[in-house]
Amino acid sequence: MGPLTVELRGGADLDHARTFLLEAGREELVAVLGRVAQTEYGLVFLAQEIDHAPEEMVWRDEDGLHWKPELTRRWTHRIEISGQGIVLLHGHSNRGKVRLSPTDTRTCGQMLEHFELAVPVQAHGYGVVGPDAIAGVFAWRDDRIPWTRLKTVACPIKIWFEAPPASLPPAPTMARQVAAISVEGQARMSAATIALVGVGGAGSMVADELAHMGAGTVLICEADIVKDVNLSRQEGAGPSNIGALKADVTAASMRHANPDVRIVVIPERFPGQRSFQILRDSDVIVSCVDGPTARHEINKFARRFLIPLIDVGATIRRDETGHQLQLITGHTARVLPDGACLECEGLTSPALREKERNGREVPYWEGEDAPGAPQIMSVNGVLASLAVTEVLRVVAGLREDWQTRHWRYEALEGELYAREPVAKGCDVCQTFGRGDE
Amino acid sequence: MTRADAIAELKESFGSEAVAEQPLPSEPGLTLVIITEKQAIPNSKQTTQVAFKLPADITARPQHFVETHLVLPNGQQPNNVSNQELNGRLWKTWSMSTSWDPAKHTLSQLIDTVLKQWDR
Repeated sequence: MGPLTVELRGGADLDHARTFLLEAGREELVAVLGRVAQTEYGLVFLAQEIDHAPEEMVWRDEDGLHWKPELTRRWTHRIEISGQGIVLLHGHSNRGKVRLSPTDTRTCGQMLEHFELAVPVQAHGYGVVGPDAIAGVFAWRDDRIPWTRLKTVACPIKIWFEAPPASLPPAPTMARQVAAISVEGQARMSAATIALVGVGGAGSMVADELAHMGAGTVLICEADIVKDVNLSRQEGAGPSNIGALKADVTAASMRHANPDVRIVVIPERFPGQRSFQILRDSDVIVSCVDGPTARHEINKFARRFLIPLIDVGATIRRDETGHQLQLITGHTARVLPDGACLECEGLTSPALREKERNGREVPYWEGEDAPGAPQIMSVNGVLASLAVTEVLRVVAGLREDWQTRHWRYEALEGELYAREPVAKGCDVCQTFGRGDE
Repeated sequence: MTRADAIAELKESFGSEAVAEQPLPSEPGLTLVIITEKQAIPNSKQTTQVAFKLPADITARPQHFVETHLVLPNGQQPNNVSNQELNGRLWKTWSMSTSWDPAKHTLSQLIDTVLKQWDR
C-alpha cells in the first residue's frame, strides 16, 4: 500500500508564502522547492526554498492565473539541477473548505506528469491554500495522493488540514490551565505529538509534566533500565522499579497522572531503526540525552526533517581534589528550523564529540550513570520545567517567535539568563529540509 | 593511501557500478563511500551494504558502517554499537579491533574484516 497522507512542512518562508497568497488581493503563484521524507503512513514534503512567480511571466483572466511556458521551463531546469521536488501553490480566499477548480484539476494533472518526468525520485505537488484549509494532490512514484496537511514550523507551529478540525471540549481537569492558555491552546496540546528522547533525570520530569498538562501523544525513546543510582532523580521510580525499562516506568507514571495521554514506548537508543522513522511525524522533540554525540544526532535529525527541538542538559563538576564544588550549570535550548542549531550554539561540536570519543572508534554510552557523574534532581527540574513551558509555547501558541532561544542556568550563582543565539549556517544547518535526500 | 586510490581499488574489486560516493555536508572533507552491492555475511543468510567515511588522505582506519538490521548469530549486537544518520540514511557502526593498516592493506580487505565481525 502506498502512502496515505502527505504533509507539506516548512519554516518561515513557507508561512510567509501562505500569507502572501491569501493577502495579495489577487491570485498569485508560488513554487515550493524541497525534498521528500517517508514516514510510517505517508510522506512529508520538506520546503527548502520558495520561488514567487515573476509578474512578467503570469497573466490573469476570469479563469484565474495563467503562466508562460518559460516559467515552467525555468522551474523544471531548476529542479533538474538541484534534484528537488516542486509544489505549486495558489490561494483561494473563501472560508472553510477549499478545493481545486476544474481548471486547477486539469493544470494539476499536466504539471505533475511533467515534473515527475523531470525528477522522478522526488514528490511533486499542486495545491490551493485557504484561510482555514488546504486542498491539492501530490505525485509520488506514479501514485496520486491527496494533500492532507500543511504545517509551518516556528513558535507556534501552525497546521491546516483538508477541513478545519473539530475539537472536543477540554477535560474538566484542565480547567485551570485552559483559563491560562485558552480552549484553542489546550486543543492544540491534546492534538500534539511530542517526542521525548531520554527519560532519565530530566526527561522523566518532562514526561510527567506533559502528561499532567494534557499532551495528546508522547513518543518515549529510551533504552536504559532503572538502576539504584537513578532513584535520587528518576521521577515516578521507586526501589521496586530497579531493573525495569525507564521508558516503561515513565509511561506508567504518566498514565497515572493522565489516563488520556497516548504513549508510544520505543525502547531503543536514538537513532534506532524505529525511532528514526517514527519521530519524523512528531510536532516537537524534547531531547534529554547526556553526551554531545547523542545530542548531535538529534540536532541533525531535527534540522533535516524540520522539527522544533528543545534540548536540555546539565553539568555538575567538582575540583580535582573532589572537595570543592566548581560548577552547577545547565541549559535549555529551543531550536527552530530557521534559527541557530545546537552546533551553532556550541552545545555540540566536533571537538566535544572527539573528547567524548576519547580516541575510541565510537563513544562509550556511559551516560549520566557513569561512575562518579554528579547529578541533582532539582537542577534537572528547573531545566525540565523550562523545556515543558517551551513545548507549550511551540504547540499551544503563547507568543509568535521564529528564533532559537537558549537559556543558561548557573545554580551556584542562582542565575537563569537568556542568550541570543545567532544562526551561523554551520554544517548541520546545511542539512535543512534534506529529508531522505 | 589517498581517497582516490582507495575508491579506484574498490571499483576494481566490486565494479564501478557498485561503488557510490556521497559528500557529507554535515562533515566537510569526508566522503561517504558505499559498496551498494549487498555483501554476504559469512555462514549467515544476512546481507548488507558496507560504507566508509573517507578523508582525502587515509592515514588511519576509516570509520566503517553496515546496515542497521544486522545481528550477531546469538541475536545480540557487538560491543559499543551505535547508529548514525548519514545523508538521510541510518547506518550502524561499532568498536572493532583489527590490525588493518592503510600502508599495508586495501579497503576490500577491510570489508572482509567488517563482514566477518558478524560471524562470531
